[in-house]
Amino acid sequence: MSSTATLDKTLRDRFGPDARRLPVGTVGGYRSSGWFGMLFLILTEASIFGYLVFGYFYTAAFATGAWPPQGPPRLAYALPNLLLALVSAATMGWAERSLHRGRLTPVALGLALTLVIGLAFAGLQLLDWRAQAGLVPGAYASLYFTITGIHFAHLLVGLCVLGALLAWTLRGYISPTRAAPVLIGAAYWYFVVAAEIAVFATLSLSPYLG
Amino acid sequence: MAEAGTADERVPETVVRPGPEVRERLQRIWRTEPGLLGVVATVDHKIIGIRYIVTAFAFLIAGGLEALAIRLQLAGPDRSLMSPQAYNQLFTMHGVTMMFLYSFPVLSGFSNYLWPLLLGSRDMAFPRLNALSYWIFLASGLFLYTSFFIGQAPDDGWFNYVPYASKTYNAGPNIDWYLLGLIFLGISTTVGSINFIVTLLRTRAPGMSINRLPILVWGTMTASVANIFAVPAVSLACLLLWLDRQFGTSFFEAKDGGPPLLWQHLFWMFGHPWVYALVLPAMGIVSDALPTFCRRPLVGYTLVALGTVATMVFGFGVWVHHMFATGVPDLALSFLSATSIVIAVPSAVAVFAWIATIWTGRPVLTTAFLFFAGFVLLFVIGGVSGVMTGAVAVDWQLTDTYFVVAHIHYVLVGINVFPVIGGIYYWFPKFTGRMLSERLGAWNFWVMFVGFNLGFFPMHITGLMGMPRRVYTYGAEMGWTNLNLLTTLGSFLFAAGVLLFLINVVVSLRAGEPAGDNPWDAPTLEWATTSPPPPYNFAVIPTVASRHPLWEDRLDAEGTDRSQLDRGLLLDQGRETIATTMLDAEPDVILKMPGDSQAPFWLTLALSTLFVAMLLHAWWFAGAALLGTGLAVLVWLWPEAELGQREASLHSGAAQGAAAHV
Amino acid sequence: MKQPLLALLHAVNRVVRAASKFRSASSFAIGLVLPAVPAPAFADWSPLNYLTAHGPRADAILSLTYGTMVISCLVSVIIAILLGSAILRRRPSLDAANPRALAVKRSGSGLPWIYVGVGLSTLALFGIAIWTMVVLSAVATPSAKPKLTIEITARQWWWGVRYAGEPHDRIFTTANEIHIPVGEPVSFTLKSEDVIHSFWVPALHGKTDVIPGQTNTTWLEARVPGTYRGQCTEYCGKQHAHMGFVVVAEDRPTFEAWLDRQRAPAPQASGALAEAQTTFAAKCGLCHAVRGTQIGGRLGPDLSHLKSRTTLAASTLPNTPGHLGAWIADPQHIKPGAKMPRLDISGPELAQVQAYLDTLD
Repeated sequence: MSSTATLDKTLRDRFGPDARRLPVGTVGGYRSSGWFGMLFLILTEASIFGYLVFGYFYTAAFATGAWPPQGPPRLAYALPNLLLALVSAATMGWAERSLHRGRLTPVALGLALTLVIGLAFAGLQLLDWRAQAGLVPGAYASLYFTITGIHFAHLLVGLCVLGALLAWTLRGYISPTRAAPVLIGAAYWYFVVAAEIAVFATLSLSPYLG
Repeated sequence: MAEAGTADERVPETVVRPGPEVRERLQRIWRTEPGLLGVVATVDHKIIGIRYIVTAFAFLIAGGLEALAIRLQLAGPDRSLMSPQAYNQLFTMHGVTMMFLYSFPVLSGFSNYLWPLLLGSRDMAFPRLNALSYWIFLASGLFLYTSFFIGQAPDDGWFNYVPYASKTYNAGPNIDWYLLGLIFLGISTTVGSINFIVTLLRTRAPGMSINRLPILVWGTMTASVANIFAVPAVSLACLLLWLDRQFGTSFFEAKDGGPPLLWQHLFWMFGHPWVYALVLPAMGIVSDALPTFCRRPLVGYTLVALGTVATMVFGFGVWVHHMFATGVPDLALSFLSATSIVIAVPSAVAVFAWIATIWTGRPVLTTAFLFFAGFVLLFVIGGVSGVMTGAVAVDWQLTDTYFVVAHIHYVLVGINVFPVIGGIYYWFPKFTGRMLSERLGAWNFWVMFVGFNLGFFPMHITGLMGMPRRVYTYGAEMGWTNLNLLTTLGSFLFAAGVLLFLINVVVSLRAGEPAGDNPWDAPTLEWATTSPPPPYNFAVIPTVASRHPLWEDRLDAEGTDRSQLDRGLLLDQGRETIATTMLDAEPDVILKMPGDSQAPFWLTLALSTLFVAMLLHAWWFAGAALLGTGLAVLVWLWPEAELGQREASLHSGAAQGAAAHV
Repeated sequence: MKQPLLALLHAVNRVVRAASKFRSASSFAIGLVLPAVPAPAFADWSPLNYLTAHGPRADAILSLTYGTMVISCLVSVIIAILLGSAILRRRPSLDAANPRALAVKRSGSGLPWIYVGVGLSTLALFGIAIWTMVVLSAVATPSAKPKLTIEITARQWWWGVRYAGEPHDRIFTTANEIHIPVGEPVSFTLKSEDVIHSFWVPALHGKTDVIPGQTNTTWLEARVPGTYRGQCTEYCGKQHAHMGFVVVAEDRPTFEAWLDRQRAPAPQASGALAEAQTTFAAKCGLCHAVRGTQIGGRLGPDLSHLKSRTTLAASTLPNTPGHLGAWIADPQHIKPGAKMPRLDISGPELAQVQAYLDTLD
């Protein structure tokens, strides 16, 4: 066969009228450009937490005297918050799975539940800060408030994301094919939960582990 | 009312040798709106790429003028051309400008312009994000330079060590300008990097498998992945120091338990990968363009590609070599020194690949070739002086002296500026449709090359004679006078060379020889379209079968397939391009690309307001700006049916059909 | 299990130490010969150069410096030659019938260049890495435990020097000029009162940063008596350029004599000198101290034996009456931004202050 004929055959196989139909637009869920973009956004934001944790342990290593200076932080709010975060991941996962199965009502419900739990988390965090107001100003206090504060900022963004997803789901934008916004937003939410686990492990757990 | 949506799937249209009506239709679909609206809203990656390059060169000139002022002050002993404060601001802004506002943006510009063309695509994966990364770069650069115009430029060097950068020793807003400016710029770098990575993963031409990517793509991709992990370190460090300075936190206050060295660790965890990000794409430029002028493919493509990645991966482990004199424990010193020396091996791979390409090829001595050949020599000189500083015991003597200044300029000017200028000689015909003057180009190269070596080689010796960095003057008894004068003269000669380059550009824009599609008879895809390319890049999405699509008829084929440039996917139902699978680049999804949008511009304005408000401590204003930012993002991300991002509204048939699949 | 491992470690340690002694010996030889050539040229008119070594730490580093320098120059020259040859070498002329021909038919040719080039480079780089480890261990510990510890306190933009730990146990403070005995290691503790500085005496050893919040240590040993210039080498603000110091290495008797003089309190002032002292106390006492008097300001350098020093203002000026007068009259003119303000001092008052300082030797 001449190379032109080979090519024509290849073109027909790939692109001819009997060729595969390709999906159009933001489809493929985990293969959509937006999802990859979110993945790398998560990696870069997670790096911030990585460097914060490094800063925490580096400062601890150079501390003279006890660390934390006033003893391990109280877990009265931190522990419930961790649990809330984990539950919110479950509700988010429920929403996601329902979407894959084509059931849209649980999607909206799951998003709404996650949003409410997220708000509760935010409230508890504010209470925690009030409880920690007795921390002596210094490196430890700076780290404590800033690490939890940066997580709080990410949480607030996450709440806005959930709000938008909820609105779009109620407006009928979301379907199993056009699922990308929810999948992308869910990925961000899981990141917020994972960051909370890291923050908890660093601030609340590590002092007890010596 | 039911809104029209996008069909869920279709067979993509193909075309063979498209005629003028096809091209006209694509032109109408892809062109930027004329007028001010188009300027503000364009998402054409070629326009954005040129903007990046031009703006970066404007900053190069600014940084160069700062350097010339420094050289005038240092031309002789005990000169008092300027106060120490002014000098300290000058050397800081010189560093900040070159390291942040020129070196990476210029490479981003090349990559922005060339990637879709090299990859056989019609646009980057996120066209609006592309526009945003440029606008933020421009805004953050202007933000930083405003400090200069009111005499409050940062004055603690481009790496801004604490405690000198803390409020106690530097009370003015100057350091805040630096900190906020870097955080602001970091947003541009990050979104730009995400754009490059996703573009690489998704939007390549069919057949453009991983092992067929041009080395520029490898270089920029490596730099982008590195930036994802490295930029947060400096953004965080800047945020923490900013909090120290505004609100009295103690991240870096020694007396309150904040270790000053934490700043150095965080900064260099960013800084070392960053310097590789500044050079790997430029090395990629040479790896792609040099072979054209050697009339043969690059020797050792796979080794060079892997070497690029290896350099960056190792580059993450050696940041402490910037801190050898700070009291690091001996065991760490040994490990870091050994790694810092051995990291030169992948670079050696590239150097010998280039030399081999020239040796076994047939050199065509164009100006671009001269810059690339000169670059190889400067690379090696910079590299060996780097090995010297990597040997920790030697580093204890030569760190913080002019030896290091010599090293950093050989690697930065040699490995970034020379390939960039060579790259412009190479791609200017493609960007503009005209050739740069080869006669002026020869003068340009030799004046720059001689001037650079005359200016910076003596710095090795000045350093060995003990001249510290960042001194605004020195005594005559130090013995550095003659060498400093030589360096000053060389610097001015080098600047004259840069001026010749600018003159060549200006003159050739108007009167340069018309270029044609492929004046260099080069092998890669960007030369398969017109000069300059139409807004849609390719009327036919090429199908790629090798690394050198345009040389396939003259090389023994790697397979039986040939690249197809005049038959293949058409994709003209709106702004569309093809997404392909990650490894083998088989067609996967028809992507609907966003057109011109004002959102990136307004978002940049909102962010600029936010950063200015934070600088001025106008907290309510900052809150409002933050809300504006959120709003702009929401509007931007609102799913659009024409882009296939959502179903049509609740009452349309499509959504009901989907809901029926319960 | 532990015993053979320890024995092995001891053996390795001994080998490395023997190798480094050989290195020290050979570097001593190289250090004598090589720097001897440029040494006169350098030493006289380049007080901060580190290509003339006058102590064992600097010796070992110098041989590595020369070694890597030679290798670097060699590599650069070889690459330049290869590059030039590659460009200029004669090739068979182009086939006129096929002007579009490429230089090769297959992409693969040329790989041996990379294998050989990278192989040789890797050998050289590994060699340098190993040599560096050897030098590191050679300069790590002094030949004997230092008997003298000097505490350095760096401030913007001068050096506080405090002698402690001598058997006589009489502590004193001076500034900007350090004396050490020749031929024995001297330990230094480095503290900063404000920002990061760096303590560097090129002729004796590499630099060590002085960082607030942590105490770094280093040790220096001079082989040859002499005056060695030091310099701050970490950017520390406006007058970083003028933060030098001097290390004087002298034989033990001379050093002991200097110590005794430095410990001695200031002479009693009487008559006109007492009046000069009063003026001095009024104008300078807020910041400066003179041991043996009531003048005890701690903000600036200790001036108890100012006349014995060779330089002023952290090695910015030679210590002559003319320079001293100019410095006191207007420090901001010489060192703009220095912490010493421009005093409101009249001509006669200046003469009195200088007269009093003239007695502090």
